Amino acid sequence: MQAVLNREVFSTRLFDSGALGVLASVIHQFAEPAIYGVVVRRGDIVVHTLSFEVSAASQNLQLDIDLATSIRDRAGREESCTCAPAGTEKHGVMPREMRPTVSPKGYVLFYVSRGEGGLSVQVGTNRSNQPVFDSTTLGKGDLFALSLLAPTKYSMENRLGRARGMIEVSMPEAAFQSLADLEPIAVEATRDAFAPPDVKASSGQGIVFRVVDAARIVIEQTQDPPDDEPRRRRRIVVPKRPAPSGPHR
Amino acid sequence: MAHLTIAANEKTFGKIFEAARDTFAFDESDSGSFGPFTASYDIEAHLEGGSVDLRGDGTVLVDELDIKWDKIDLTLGLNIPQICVGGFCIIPTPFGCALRAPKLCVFSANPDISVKLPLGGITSELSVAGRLVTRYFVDPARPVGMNDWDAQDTSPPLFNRWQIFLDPEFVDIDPIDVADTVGDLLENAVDDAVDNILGFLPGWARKLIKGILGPIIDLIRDILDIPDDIQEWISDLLNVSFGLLDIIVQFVLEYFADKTPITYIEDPFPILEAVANPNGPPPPMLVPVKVPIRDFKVFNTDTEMVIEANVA
Amino acid sequence: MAFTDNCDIFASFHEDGVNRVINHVRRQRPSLFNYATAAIARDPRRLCEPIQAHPIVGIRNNPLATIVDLLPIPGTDFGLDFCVQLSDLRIDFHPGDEFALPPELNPLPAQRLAIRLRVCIGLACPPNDIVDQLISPPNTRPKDDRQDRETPKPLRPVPFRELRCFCLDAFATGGVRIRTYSGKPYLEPFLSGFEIVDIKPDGLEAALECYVKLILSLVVLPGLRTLLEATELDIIKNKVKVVVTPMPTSATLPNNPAIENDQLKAFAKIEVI
Repeated sequence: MQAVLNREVFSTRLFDSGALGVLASVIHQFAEPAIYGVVVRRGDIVVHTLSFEVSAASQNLQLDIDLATSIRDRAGREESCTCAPAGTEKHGVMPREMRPTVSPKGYVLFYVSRGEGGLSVQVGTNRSNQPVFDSTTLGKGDLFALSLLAPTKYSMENRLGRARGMIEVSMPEAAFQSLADLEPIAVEATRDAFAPPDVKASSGQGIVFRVVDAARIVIEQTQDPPDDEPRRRRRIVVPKRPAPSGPHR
Repeated sequence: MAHLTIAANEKTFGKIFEAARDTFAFDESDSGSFGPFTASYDIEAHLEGGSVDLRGDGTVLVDELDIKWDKIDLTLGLNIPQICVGGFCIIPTPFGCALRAPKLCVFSANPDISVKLPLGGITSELSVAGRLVTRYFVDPARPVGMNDWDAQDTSPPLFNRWQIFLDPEFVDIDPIDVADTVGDLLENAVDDAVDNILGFLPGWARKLIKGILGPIIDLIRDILDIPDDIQEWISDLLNVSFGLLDIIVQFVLEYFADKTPITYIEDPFPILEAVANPNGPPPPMLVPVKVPIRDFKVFNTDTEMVIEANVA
Repeated sequence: MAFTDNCDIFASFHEDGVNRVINHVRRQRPSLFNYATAAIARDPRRLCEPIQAHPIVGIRNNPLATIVDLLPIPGTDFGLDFCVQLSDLRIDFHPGDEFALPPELNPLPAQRLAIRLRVCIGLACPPNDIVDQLISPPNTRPKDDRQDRETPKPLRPVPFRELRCFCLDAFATGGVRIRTYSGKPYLEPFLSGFEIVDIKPDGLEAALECYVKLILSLVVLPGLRTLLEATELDIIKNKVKVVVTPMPTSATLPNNPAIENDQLKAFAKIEVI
């Protein structure tokens, strides 16, 4: 099968909790049982809506919502799609049997599996006009988790305050182990500081920001990684052509 | 007593046989699916060497013919496993992971790679023994009613012929033994193939992905389910799974018994060549004189091949 | 003892097979055995013996007879039409048990073959009334030598109604040798003795024997020579580029070719190019 490369995995230089792209996710715990509507935006433009239910009856402690899939599958309908089927969409509310659920003790994780990213979510109920959760402004208890792959230096800042820091990512020297098994690095984020402010991580290792008050965390690659394995030139062999049979004019 | 008797000694018979041997060309390709991988081969071979022994029991043994494998291109199609990042535990607890980051995979599906192993340049041996037999051949392209002189003059000629074949009784053949460097060859080929699909990525990304994949040789063993010796595995793939030995034996049998006569003579045979018309043109030449040959038979002793025939 | 004890390739032809071959040659190349002037060649019904030709001769417009010049009548510019035909040609290899030779040629020497044939000759003799018309008046003008030398006049055929034919039985002895032409060895028959039966006076017999022997030696027998490599029936040539050469004679191979035991045998060696 022809496999399409997820280019953004290697080309993303900016990781913004308020404009999600690949390799990053925001996590919020919805403690009130209700049906929640999600508005997905890119900048100011609404690209899609969807819904989920927080129910005391649900055993599900983690609900992953892929913002890229929900957009892509507005026309197609994948099983994991949280989109409203055609004709039933009403304020982002799906039929009950199709709606994903999560326990009030569980977490909802918003992420982007592919594509250009820049997505934010506002989550609300029909009880209030105010959103219950807005990913452009993370609050207390919210998490921002990401993996940085390129072995180089990154700046980190809280756009809602003065907190600044640096992250240095390096290629592991020893044999690679399963990236999933690497202990993630925890960073506390307040408006004015990161703890710790300097983070050293291995390529692919998880970094989890725990928001204490309010945050919009932006991590940006500050330099290009060293390219000690230059791009390989591909040799394409030209097939032999038969010799001409007559005099060449 | 036969009207005509021709005998050729063993040395001469050997020269005649060499000509039949030298036109042997084996060219075969096939493919198959073997579960976790697909494989195809493209093979060309020719024959060299061999010693011809005419035996007292009327058989001919051609011993130690070299099969020169000019090309054994074995192409393996593998799916390399998905390469994913993420999946780490966001909220660890003493009871396990309460929240885990999603896995993000580098490719949309398991990428295919195709590695071609050029295994040619090796030699194996075969021996074939059989009896000389004759067959009368009428060219199927010859129009009904065409006279023998027109048949001789066409290009290519369409004359009938008495043919002598070697009808094999057995073929002994060595299995194809690939070189012991095939393990390195395979490893390098997979390495190259992986590099090719990642070729446009920056070096650090390739290094990261290859680190995730792990040592190539382990990857190969895993995907292909190779228990032990790669050389032996590939030899078995060719000889047994593809049945290449059976295929080439069948080809050799058909080649000598059916497709390629050791030699032949034209019938009717032109005993006198065309000469100039003594009365001047037209026509410029007189027809060659052709005599019909019948009761054509061949046998051999331990020193010579003997042909006997009668003039009709 | 193997056929190839002293050579790479051996070929032998039994006299029965050779005689069948000669029959095929007579039918497919009749012009080798029939000679006639143009007027007779154009109308083969006039020949002494009918020609049984293979259909390919007519299909390919091959001649039935080799055209020869008129027989000149000395002192005139007339010539006679005539024909010579060789028929019933049979060969007998040593030890010569197919037909009896006349005493002049008997016994057949070793390594020799005997030939029996029938020679038919036809002469277009004109009837008297035509001859009278052909008598030329007296020629009283002196000959202009130079003019006569520079412009020889072609012979004029004498009109005739039919040929006067007669046939003679003849016997010959000869052999086969290997001669090389243009770098290629040929098996070539040759004559040693020739005898026409029952012609008197002896001088006439001798003269006729001379004439027919010349036709056989210079025309017919060379026309029967075959490429040595052809006698190996092409089994080599079809497959391998080789040079076929006759084996040199030696103590173990005293004759090449050999004529013995009713067979003609040839011994050759091959060199692969």
